[in-house]
Amino acid sequence: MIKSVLIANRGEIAIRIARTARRMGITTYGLRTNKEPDAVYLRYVDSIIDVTDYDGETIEFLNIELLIQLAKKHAIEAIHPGYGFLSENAQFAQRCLDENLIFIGPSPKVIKDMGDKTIAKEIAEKSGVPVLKGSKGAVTSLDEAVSIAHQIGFPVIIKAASGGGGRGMRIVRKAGEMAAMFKMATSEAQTSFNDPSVFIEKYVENPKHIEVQIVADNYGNVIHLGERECSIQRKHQKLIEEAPSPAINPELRSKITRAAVKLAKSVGYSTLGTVEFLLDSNGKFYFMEMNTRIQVEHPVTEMITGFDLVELQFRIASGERLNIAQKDVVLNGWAIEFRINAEDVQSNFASSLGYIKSIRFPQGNKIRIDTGIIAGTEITSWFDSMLAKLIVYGQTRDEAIKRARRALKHFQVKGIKTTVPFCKAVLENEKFVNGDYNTSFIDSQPPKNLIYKEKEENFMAALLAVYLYSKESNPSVTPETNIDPWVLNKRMRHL
Amino acid sequence: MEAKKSNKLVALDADGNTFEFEIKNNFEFYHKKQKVNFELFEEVDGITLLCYNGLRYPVEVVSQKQNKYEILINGVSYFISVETSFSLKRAKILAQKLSAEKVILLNAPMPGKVLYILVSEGQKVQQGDTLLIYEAMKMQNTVTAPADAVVKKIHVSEKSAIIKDNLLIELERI
Repeated sequence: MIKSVLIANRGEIAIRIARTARRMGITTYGLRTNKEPDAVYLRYVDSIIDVTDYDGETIEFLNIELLIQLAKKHAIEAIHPGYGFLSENAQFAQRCLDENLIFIGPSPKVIKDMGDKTIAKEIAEKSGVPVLKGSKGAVTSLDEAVSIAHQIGFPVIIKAASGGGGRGMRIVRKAGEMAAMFKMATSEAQTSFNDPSVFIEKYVENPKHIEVQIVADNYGNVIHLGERECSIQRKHQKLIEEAPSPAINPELRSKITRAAVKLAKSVGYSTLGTVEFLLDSNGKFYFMEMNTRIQVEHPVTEMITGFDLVELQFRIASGERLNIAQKDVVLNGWAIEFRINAEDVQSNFASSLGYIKSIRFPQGNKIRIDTGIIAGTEITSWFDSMLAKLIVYGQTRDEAIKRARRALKHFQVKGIKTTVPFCKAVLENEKFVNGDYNTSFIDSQPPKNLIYKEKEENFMAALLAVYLYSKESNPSVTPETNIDPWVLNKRMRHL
Repeated sequence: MEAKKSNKLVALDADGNTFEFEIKNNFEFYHKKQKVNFELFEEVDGITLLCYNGLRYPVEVVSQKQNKYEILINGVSYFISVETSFSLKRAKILAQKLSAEKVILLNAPMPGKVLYILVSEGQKVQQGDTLLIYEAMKMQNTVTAPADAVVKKIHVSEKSAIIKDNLLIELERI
């Protein structure tokens, strides 16, 4: 078993990794950066490596050589990259291998291949996984585009080959639109990515996002831990996830998990990974991509399967054989995760920066909170805006939803605005409650459906305003009144 | 001389809703002649609760400029201005002016004659819908809805002569 690990990450995932490592007797190392020298995650590691004098341009968690050197300097055996940052960086994985450090993740080749959209798609197709029909390589002329589109069938999407983040993409619904869209897509690709090449793919209208959790050891054993649905997204960022998916019946589950396992086996996958699919309204699924790391939403899978995914990562990376057979995996109950972000829903999810003056988390047997913040934490623009993950469990989806509604009522934050009112609104939405939602959910809802207002809120806000106004004009405590300075000091000043 | 001091204040929110309160003796609040029993309590961890009618909601004042407050209650913002009976009238006119941006006035761009009116008052229309056809300079011209709206008032009738800038139709934005 690995004896020591450098956690090359921060916030809630660093705490998550440290929690399991501690339980397994693995010594944990964390980095203290000058961007958040008092971060909560530092309390959970056994040893803090102070890099507050670092002034490089790349941030610490993205600096490959810095991390390698620190691991070697402190004789640390393994590096856990968490999610984001360098978790899917093949070069980093390779450097770890070169320096005899255990990288908690699959091989550099697998990371590289799965990170390339074209290669990953080819691999998927070869292993019999349904993929979206599309052009083989770049499309260079309008004629070629038109002919391919006819082969695939409309609607199609034109995507920049060197692109990403939604740029250089154009949806073409009819043959008549192709000329204009092709021209726009290629010129946008040229200006944004300095490469006008585009490829064309079948476009699935308003798909559901379904992903399958894969666990594989270094000996070719691969199992799946069921699926998750992550269709509540805003600008391709997941906000709410659940396991299992209300759209998946046992037959479809069998098909989609079989496809994911087949794909993982075909590339010699090891440790944890997630195969993402698009599910269309006809129950047909298509390979989208594979994430070769632990995912933010892994807790929902943990809640319904009972397995500790980080523990599995450590065991597999230590060379252990997978001792879980597929038949041992039972999906029990329902879990929903809500990402609580520091965003102002009423201002179109603009970041809410500031200090968390106070925070109250809901508590309960079937409630789990994964967080990296505490009262007093400053929310800055250095890192992402996720404050906490609220994960709720129920024997049924209905029970989970009811529990979630109660839990969110008890999630209270003072000092910044959060997406709690948005999460509450989703739980009251008929489409969500029926499981009948897809990735177009947020965009298709009128703004008033995205924020939940408790009863009498408006009246009480008015009452408070009037009360404050009246107190100001008629203060009940005059400056002459004697207030004990100790009392004044202890009293949290004002609202 | 009144034995009890009373003070009337009105809260006006961003949607134009008003809430009238009467304050007696500086600490008793009445709304619609009923006493409002409430308490504002700051708990030791810093969360302030507004308790009313069995409800206990966390509240925070995000900002305050004179009589204008941004109140955060359950994490949702409400923009409230507190008016006295004197300032209320002015505030209401201001609010009306602001919501007046909701009103769209469609005027005749040139003199002519109304031929057909295709909508009726109260009807919902979509951006681009043709509302009225008039004749001018020997041609038929259309007046279309510039935004999704409700037809508030039709100021002309079929066959009426119109002059330049004649107010034809008043719409209210949806």
